[in-house]
Amino acid sequence: MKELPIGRYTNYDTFLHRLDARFKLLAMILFMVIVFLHFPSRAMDFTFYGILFLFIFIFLKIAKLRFRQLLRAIKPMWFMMVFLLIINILVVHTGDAFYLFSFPIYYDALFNTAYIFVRLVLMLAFSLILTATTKPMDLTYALEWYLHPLTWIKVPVHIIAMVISLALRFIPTLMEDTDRFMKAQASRGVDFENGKLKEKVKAIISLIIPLCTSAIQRSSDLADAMEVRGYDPNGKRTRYRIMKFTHRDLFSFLFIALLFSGALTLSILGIDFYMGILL
Amino acid sequence: MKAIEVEHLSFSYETGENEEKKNILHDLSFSVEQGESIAFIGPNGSGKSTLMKLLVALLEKDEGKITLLGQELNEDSVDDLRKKMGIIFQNPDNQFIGATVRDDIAFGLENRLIPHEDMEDIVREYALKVGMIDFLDKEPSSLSGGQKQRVAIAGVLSMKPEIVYMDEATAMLDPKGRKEIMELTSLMKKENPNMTILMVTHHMEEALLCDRIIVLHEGKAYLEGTPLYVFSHEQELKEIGLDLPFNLKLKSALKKEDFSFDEDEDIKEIMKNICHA
Ligand SMILES: Nc1ncnc2c1ncn2[C@@H]1O[C@H](COP(=O)(O)OP(=O)(O)OP(=O)(O)O)[C@@H](O)[C@H]1O
Ligand SMILES: [Mg+2]
Repeated sequence: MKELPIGRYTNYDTFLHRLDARFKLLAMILFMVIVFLHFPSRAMDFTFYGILFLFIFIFLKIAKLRFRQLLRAIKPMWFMMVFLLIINILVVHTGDAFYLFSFPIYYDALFNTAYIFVRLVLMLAFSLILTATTKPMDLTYALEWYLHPLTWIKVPVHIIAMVISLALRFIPTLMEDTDRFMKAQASRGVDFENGKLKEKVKAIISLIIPLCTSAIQRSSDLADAMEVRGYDPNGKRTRYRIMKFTHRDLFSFLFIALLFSGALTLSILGIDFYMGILL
Repeated sequence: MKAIEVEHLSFSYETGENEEKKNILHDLSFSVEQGESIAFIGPNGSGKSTLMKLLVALLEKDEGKITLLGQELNEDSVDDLRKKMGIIFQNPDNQFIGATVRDDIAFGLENRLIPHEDMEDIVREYALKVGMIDFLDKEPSSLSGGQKQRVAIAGVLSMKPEIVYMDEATAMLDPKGRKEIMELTSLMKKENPNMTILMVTHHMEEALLCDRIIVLHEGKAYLEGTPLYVFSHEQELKEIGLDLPFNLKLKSALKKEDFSFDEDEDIKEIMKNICHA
């Protein structure tokens, strides 16, 4: 069977899956902040990156996700990274250097690239774990919950949330449409794979037009269905799904808060475990 | 009491400046008793869907009067009346609003301000009724068209409507799905004899199951009466491109061949007798 790309919601019943979406969203943001914290030495920076990677391994294990899937998600980044490395080597001329075939390569250039790479991978991993363990709909609810204060300045948060959840709901439907139209156009002789740029653009247009028509038709039908079932965007509604913050969430929250404040303190006070001996 | 009274209803869609306005419905009148089931049949473009949309106030009439459950349909009464009616459309995908079956059934309840504590029971009750209780957490992309239509029916029924409209609710389904929806409809009827059902269909077999048939043609009621009455006008139906249900067609063909039988005898019996003779 084809392995699903990581990041798609997996329907398992694990500790991570059961956590409150609001907490998971917050935790992801805190982890990302840690990724961008500055510590007094590179050794400290990479120590923390190591700790974060450890967390990622543990999360993957708990959520029954495969490390291989994560690697697959990173794969497309290689090209960019090599490009970045070359640019860095050419541009960065500070600190010590070593010579490769009498061409100076500065350590700073290598470290710069490594920093960007590691940070990107970490961010990607955390967000993928979040989306793999949280239903899109729950994420929408979480977002709505956090944005709720904005209603005070008349931002229609619940409408935005409804729009997002409808968009999520219709992604698979529109994908099916795309597939169908592609086959229909291919059977009429449109070639999506070969040909010059101009022909390719033409082929894409032959796909986009029917896709737009169908999307508009669908949304107009949907609007009718919603209206008849009593939906009023500005009206009051009760809620079927209510999120509950449980003990599980509380303990996880305390743990993450501890980790975060520890990292923040070390960063602000500039404490270096290695006393400046390393890097 | 009359559930629906339509008097001298006219409607035309907005058109561009140079196009001439075409009346889709023209001076249409009919009425429906409470608890009756009515089938609307008619050729493509005869305005059946337009009529349904007018009755649920998705479109605004040009002229005439629509009275639903004793209340005239207008801007003041529309919110109140909509609570008492539901509609099932043709396309199963385009009326699935929630992310999962349970969310979709709950959507209408949320709009009607049903308290959170009561919702779960209602959702389960109606999911059970339409046979979707084992699919509560399924997403629409993993359901068949017939299953999606059943969810749509659960959503409508959960609001306890007095009038239910079905605009070709079975048109995009396979024969099995169509049969299931029709069985569900007759079950609805049995459970709540006061429920008025208006359905639009191109399947004459489905129309045959209703109490009365109204044939729409060129914006008017072209023929109206019991299924037997309407289908006895084979020639008139043929003129506007409509066909008889299969077994009635068979009966009329047999008659032409000088076989004799009782008019409302079951077709299977008739065939048996003929084969034995
Ligand atoms: N939004 C619209 N704007 C303009 N004209 C429309 C619109 N919707 C439908 N029509 C036209 O109104 C006429 C009646 O359409 P309607 O959909 O009511 O027919 P119908 O009886 O439901 O047909 P079908 O059996 O194909 O479903 C058709 O000629 C159609 O082209
Ligand atoms: Mg129609």
